[in-house]
This record gives sequence, C-alpha cells and structure tokens, in this order.
Amino acid sequence: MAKISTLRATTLTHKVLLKQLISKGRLIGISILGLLPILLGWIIGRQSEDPLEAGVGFVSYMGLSILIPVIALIFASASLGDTREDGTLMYLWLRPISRWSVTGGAWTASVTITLPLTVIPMVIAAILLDAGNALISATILTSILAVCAYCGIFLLLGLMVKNPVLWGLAYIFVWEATIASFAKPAASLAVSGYSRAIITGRTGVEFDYLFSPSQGTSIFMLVIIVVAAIGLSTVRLNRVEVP
Amino acid sequence: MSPQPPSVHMIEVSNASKTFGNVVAVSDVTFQLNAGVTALLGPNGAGKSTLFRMLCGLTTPTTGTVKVLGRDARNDTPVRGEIGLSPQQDALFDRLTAYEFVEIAAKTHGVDNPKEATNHALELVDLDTVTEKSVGAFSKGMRQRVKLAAALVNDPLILILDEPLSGLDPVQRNRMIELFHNLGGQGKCVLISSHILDEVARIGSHVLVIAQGRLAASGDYRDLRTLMEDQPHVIQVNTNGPRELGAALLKEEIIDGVTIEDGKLTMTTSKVEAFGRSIAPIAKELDVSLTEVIPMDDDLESVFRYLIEGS
Repeated sequence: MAKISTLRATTLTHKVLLKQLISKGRLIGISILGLLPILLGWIIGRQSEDPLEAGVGFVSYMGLSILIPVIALIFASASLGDTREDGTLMYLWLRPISRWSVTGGAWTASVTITLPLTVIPMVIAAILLDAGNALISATILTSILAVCAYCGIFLLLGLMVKNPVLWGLAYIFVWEATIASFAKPAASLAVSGYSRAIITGRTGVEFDYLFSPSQGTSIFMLVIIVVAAIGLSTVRLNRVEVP
Repeated sequence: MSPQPPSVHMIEVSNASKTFGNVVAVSDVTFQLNAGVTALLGPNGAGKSTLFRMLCGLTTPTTGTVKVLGRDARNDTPVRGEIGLSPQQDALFDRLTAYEFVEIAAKTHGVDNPKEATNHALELVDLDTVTEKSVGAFSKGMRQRVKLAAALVNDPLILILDEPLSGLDPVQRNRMIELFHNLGGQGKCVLISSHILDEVARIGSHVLVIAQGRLAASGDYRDLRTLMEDQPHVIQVNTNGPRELGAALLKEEIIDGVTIEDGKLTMTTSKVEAFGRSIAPIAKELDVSLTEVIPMDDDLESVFRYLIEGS
C-alpha cells in the first residue's frame, strides 16, 4: 500500500466533507440570507450622499461583522463538529493519514462553500452601492480574507465545544460586531478589526474610531489566524476522544 | 508495512482499564490474540465497544496498554492502515453513494488500485448491484454491509467488527460468518463482538466473555458452554398444585430447591433434561394442571453471571 501524501489526503477529506456540508435546506436558507445585503446595498446606494463612505461602513458592519461570520460559522463548525457529534469522524480519524490533512480538508471544504455564498452577495451589494471599482475590489479582497479567517476559527470551535453555533453566535454578536467595533484593543483581537482595516485602507475612507493597522499587517494577521486556527484544530483532533 | 516480529501478538491488551468519571467501562482486562476468528461476547453495556475503541486508538486506556501489531494505534499512523473497523454505531457519510463511501476508504488507506479494491469489497458483502445508491437511503442491513466493505477494502491484518451481524437476514448472516472464517483462515486477526450467545457459537470457537467491564472468561466456546451447563437452573412453574408438585419433584431428586410465593412455584435444578422429561408425567400423576413453565435464567445476563461466578 502506498503512503498517502498530505495534499492527496486533504483533497480526499475535502471531497467527503464538502458533500456532507451541502444540503438543499442549508443552501436555500443561506441564499435567502444573502439577498438581505443585496437589498440593503441597493437602498443605501439610492439614499446616500457619499456612497463610498456609506458603502465601506455597510460592507464593514453588515458583511464583515455579521453575514460572513454567521455563514462561516454554520459551515466551518459543522465540518468536523458534526462528524464528531454523529460518529462519522472515526472514518477519517482512523485512516493512515496525517491529522493536518483532516483539518486542512475540513477548512478548505468550509471555505469552498462559504466563499460563493458570501462574496457574491457582498459584491453585488457593492455594485448596487454605486461607489466605484475601489469599493468592489476591496470588498472582494476583504471578504475572501475574512471567510478564510472565520472558517479557521469556527473549525476549531466545532472541535472544542458541544453547541458551536450558539457559542459562535455569541462570539460574533458580542465580540466581533459590538466590542471590537468600538474598543480599539479588542479590535486587535478580532477578525473584523483587521478586515475593516483592509477595506478602509484600500478605499481611502477613514473612520477615526476604528482600529487602523496597515493593510500589510492586517493581511499578515489574518493569515496568522488561519494558520493558528488550523494548527490548534489539528492538535485538538489529535487529542480528542473519538466517539 | 513490514510484518511484525514473531514474538509480537497481533493484539495485546495488558491490564487495560477505562473510566468515564465514576463509571468504569473496562476494568483491568488482559488478553492476547493472534490469527483467527475470536468472538467477544457480552451483554449491551458490558464494555465491548469501549474495548474496541481502545484497540483502534479512538480512545486511550485510563491505565494499562493496548497494542495492535506491537504498536499504539492512537499515535502510530502506519499501523492504522492495518486495522479495519466496522463500528456498532449506524453513522455513515449519508450523502455518499456506497461506491464513494468504500472508495474513499480505499484511497485514504493508499490502496494501490482503489477502483478494483472497492468493487471487490462491495462484491464480498453483496452490495455490488447498488453501488450508485446513496448510503443514506440504505436499510439497516445494507448499512451494516457497507461498513464491512469499507473495513475490508484495504485487506487489513486486523479486523475489528462491532456487532457486524445485527440487522442482517439469516442468509446474509451465514454469508458473513463464512467470510469471517475465510479471513481468519488467511492469517488475519478477526475480532467480532456480539451479545447473542448462539451467534457467537457460530462465529468462532475462541471466545472472550466480557461483563461489567471485566473479562469474565476466555477460551474455547465448548468449555464455556459446559461451565454454563454445570450451573443450576431456575425455573418457575404456574400450577394449581404448587405444594404437591414441588414436594414430588424434591422427592424424586429432580430439583435441588423450591420456593412458593403468591402461588407460584420456583425451583432450582441441575438436571434440566430430567426436569423436562418428568414434570408433565408427575403433574398428571398428581392430577394437577400446569399452565406455564418459565426458565428464569436463560437470558444472557444470567449466563454471564454464571461465568463470572464460575471463573
């Protein structure tokens, strides 16, 4: 029997978990949720005197602090959390493949499904805001980075706690959307703090009260969050008692 | 993977215990297994699945050691490639087809020709005609067999099968038992759990009996059966003449003891066959009617109790 490379094992895990994550009900529900930013974007675009500033504010709060983390939570926490709950984790855990490939496959599966469900409505909203190409390109970049980071965090959460969706919602609405929006030190420990810094940096819109690291630092920190979250998930997976 | 040195047992469990809080699931279990089929017999909740999970590395023993091919499956990635597990729980990746489910197992095991191995494994369990059906739509028996196919697809040296016959019809049971014997004959270590006594007799002559987390007995099934038959049996008889009938059976030395409670006659006997032959003629002779004869200890729990007391 051949030794399986980590990349090959990651691809296989990704395939299995992606199929498990995609259900009609989830897709329909989340697509409907995705209509909300599109509608709001259109309304704000019609009413705002400064569409760029309004647009950046809208993408920052509606997209980066609520829509993206909520959808990432649903899929990333389920990717391994559900398998642990229902007992199917053993079919991946017991194979002669590295733990990295299991967590890596789970992360890529949740990113694969979360990206189109969040980035597309956010980009449509940015177009409808009618604030120019800078907002559209900044929305694409920050949404992708935020999806990657949130998927990492919620992948770990799914392996750590029993009701990850409840814990995750508390984290999103209390920490990311509220505390990190108004307290600069808290923003330095939040995905939304860095993703907002990227979108404001790229569009040139300034919000005085926001945490404002450079774009480079923000991108680096989001990458670090992804790597750390997958690493910790791997450690957790190695120690977990598999049902 | 290189074959294990001859001195290493294929499965070696040494003083292994597992506790969950105050609950002792497995207590100080020691045994070694090599090639062949072994049945692990025990009532529900006896600790069979926990023992299997420890063997596979899915959970760690609280004390003691559990080795498969001389290694710890929890920390040794290559040895996991030599284990095929069919778990008791019903969970499967329900959105995959039977073919995909088994093929993923083949591929993640690094099987050289996964397509061929998948088809062969599905054929072994008679699922080759429903390969494109989603496992979520499978009956319990089919789910059981697809788990078996996934456990067999990498041709492992160690097969750990937790209640693999539950949900199967008699024809499939016979086919699977034959398959297990073939695998044991090929030099594989096949460990199969069951809580059904008669099933165990057909699975393998070598039996491990586990009860309340302890290894109650191990050895040849026939020896255990004899040990069980040596124990006195408890039988309850519903009759309109309990005193007369009890006295007559005692006088004939067919029973060892008798109690009468609420008009019900409960007897202990070491001579079950003689009891069965005599009770009707004696009742007829006494002109008492028998409405019910109930063996009180024919259940598996009683058998285990006997084994624990007898071992």
